[in-house]
Amino acid sequence: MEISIGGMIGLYGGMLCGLLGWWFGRKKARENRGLDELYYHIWQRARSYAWYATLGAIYIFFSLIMFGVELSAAMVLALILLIHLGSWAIIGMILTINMTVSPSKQLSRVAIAWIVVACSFTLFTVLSIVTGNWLFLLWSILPNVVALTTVALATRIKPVQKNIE
Amino acid sequence: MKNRIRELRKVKQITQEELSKQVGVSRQSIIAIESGKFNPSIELAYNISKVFNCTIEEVFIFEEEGM
Repeated sequence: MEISIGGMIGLYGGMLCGLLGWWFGRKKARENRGLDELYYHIWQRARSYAWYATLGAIYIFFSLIMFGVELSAAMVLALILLIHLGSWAIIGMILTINMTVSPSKQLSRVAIAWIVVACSFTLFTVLSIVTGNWLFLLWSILPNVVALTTVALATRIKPVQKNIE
Repeated sequence: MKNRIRELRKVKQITQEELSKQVGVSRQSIIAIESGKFNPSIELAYNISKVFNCTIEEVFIFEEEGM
């Protein structure tokens, strides 16, 4: 049995950094009365959306396996962990910004989200072609899921605003 | 749900920061509530109304969908 030192540093180091960031973030927020009901509302919603992203990723991986693609357990677990935690954090940040910016700026974020989709897909396609390893394409899942969620959130907000007007 | 927080703040001459301190939430929460992006809990709505010496119905205007 081989022990991967790099993997262990990445896994536990990442967890430690994440926990420290989370702890300091909460400490700073508490000083500004930031741990209020809006905070819990945003981060509960972000966690909910992150599970949708994870569910989507699981279905994508199962589909790939059914198409005969060989995926290692470590790779799939790493990607699912990345997609879950990454989408949780990014969606939380997007929702936090959404609460305090004007609706006109939300529209421009839709454009940015589409640019992210196009860029990440192009980048990982080029990487796959250059290296000859198409599995690089899997890394475009996270930015694409987050960007498409941003588009979905922004377009869901628009009709409500029209009703108010 | 619409609200009259901005209007009442101007009458009482208090800033978003002052209001947030009085009700114990962040300024971002007051911004989100004022702009109608976030509906506060009944407890927070009551505390905000109390700052303005109003009832909840006087500060928050509930509108049913389709009305």
